[in-house]
Parts: sequence; C-alpha cells; structure tokens
Amino acid sequence: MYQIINFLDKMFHFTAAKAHCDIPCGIYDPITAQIAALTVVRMVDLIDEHHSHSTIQDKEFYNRLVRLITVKEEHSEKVKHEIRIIFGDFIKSEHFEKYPELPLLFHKIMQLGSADKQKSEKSTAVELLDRVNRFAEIFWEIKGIKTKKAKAPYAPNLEFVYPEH
Amino acid sequence: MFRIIKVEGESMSPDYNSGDYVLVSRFPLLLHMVKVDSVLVFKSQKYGILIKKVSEIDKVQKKYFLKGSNQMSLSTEMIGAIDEKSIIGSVLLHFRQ
Repeated sequence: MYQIINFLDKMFHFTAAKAHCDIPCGIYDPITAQIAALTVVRMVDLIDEHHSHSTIQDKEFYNRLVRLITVKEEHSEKVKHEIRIIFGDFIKSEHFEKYPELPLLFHKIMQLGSADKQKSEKSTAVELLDRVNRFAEIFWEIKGIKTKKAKAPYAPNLEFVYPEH
Repeated sequence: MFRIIKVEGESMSPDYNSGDYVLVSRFPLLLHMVKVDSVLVFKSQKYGILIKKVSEIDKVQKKYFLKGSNQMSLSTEMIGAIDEKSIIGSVLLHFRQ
C-alpha cells in the first residue's frame, strides 16, 4: 500500500505535515546538496557509457538503464529539497541585501534540478553542481567561514566548495 | 473530507517517521471522537502545517493543545492553543515506510 501512495505522491504531490526541525536545530550544510548534484553528473556519465557500450538491448540493458535514471531522478529532487530547506529556514531577508543574486540563484537551482530530471545532459548536470557550489560559497560566507575549492575524491572528480575548518 | 498527508521530519518518531503517509479526515472532529493522544494535522500560523498528538482539549472553547512524540518537538506552550477550524484532520490510517 505504501508503494502505491508513494507513487501517487510523486504524481500529485501530497501536502506535507512537518514533524521536522520544530526546534530550529541549526544544523544546516549544503554538502548534502553538493553530493547529490555530483551524483546527478555521475549518473549522466554512466547513462552515456551504458548507452554507447551496450551492443544488445536486452532486459538487462533496460534494467540497468532504468536504475541509473531512477538514481538521477532521486538525486535531482534531493538537490532541490536540501537547497529549499536552507533557503527557507536559514536564509533571512537581510541576506538578500548583501547577496542580491540569492533569489535568482535559488530559482535557477530549482529549474536545473527539474531539467536534470527531464533530460540526461552533461552540461545541465554540471551547471547544477556549479550553481549549488555557488550557493554553498554564499552559505559559508554568511556564517563567516572561509571556503576552499577542491576536487571531489571520487568520479567524476569535479570541484566542490568546502568550508576551510 | 479525506486527505493523504506526508510526514516530514522526526519529531513524531518513533510513532510516525519521516516519509510515512497518513490518511486524515475531519469526520472524527465533527463526531467529537478526537481525544487525548489522537494525532492531528493542523495549520499553525507560526510553523505551517504540523502533525502532533493531542495532549489536552478545552471542550468549552473548542481549543486543542498538542505535543510531539519526542524531545525534538516544540513544546505545547510554543505551539499554543489550536482552534478547531485550523485542524485539517485527525489521523485515521498510517502507512509506514
């Protein structure tokens, strides 16, 4: 029964009742969104690889393809979810004065998250990661924490913004 | 009169966990079947749509006082008294993840 409702939720988006962060826990970190965005890039790479290397399009081919697409779908949504929480709960209106790009950056991440679900394009996936990294940079700057850029130690080894300490 | 609501977060854990779904209805309210420990989904002006457990009912003023299932939750005082009209429904069915 749960699976049916969960499927319907994906189609109709049921209202959510919060039993979460009722006490503002203060634990916010964009790294979850960054990892999810990197996963989207990885899935696009694996989909391309799978598509170009498979000579027989049998049920195993489709099984793996569907699994890769499913993970891409889930992580695109996860990026949107995580960024939405930080934007909604942590970012305050006064931050818009210092970072006027924030509302548009947020909107762009939401759009790219959706675009990455609709298609399997490397450039769109990388752009999502870039925007999420920029969001992370602003987030840590607001918290007064310096950041550094370093390549993720796993494929596709793209750059992440990390807090320095 | 029936709605499916998704639970987000852990303040109702272990009774209701994040990702669970509940079927709610206002029928139990209309039939005066809501009592202490009933679980309600309601609109809080301050906190948005919440799911909490009834801790006390003021039957004269038709006000409800609610609490979470663990210490992560807002206290009853912080949530404040909830009017009957702010209640979306009482939980009838629970679909665990």
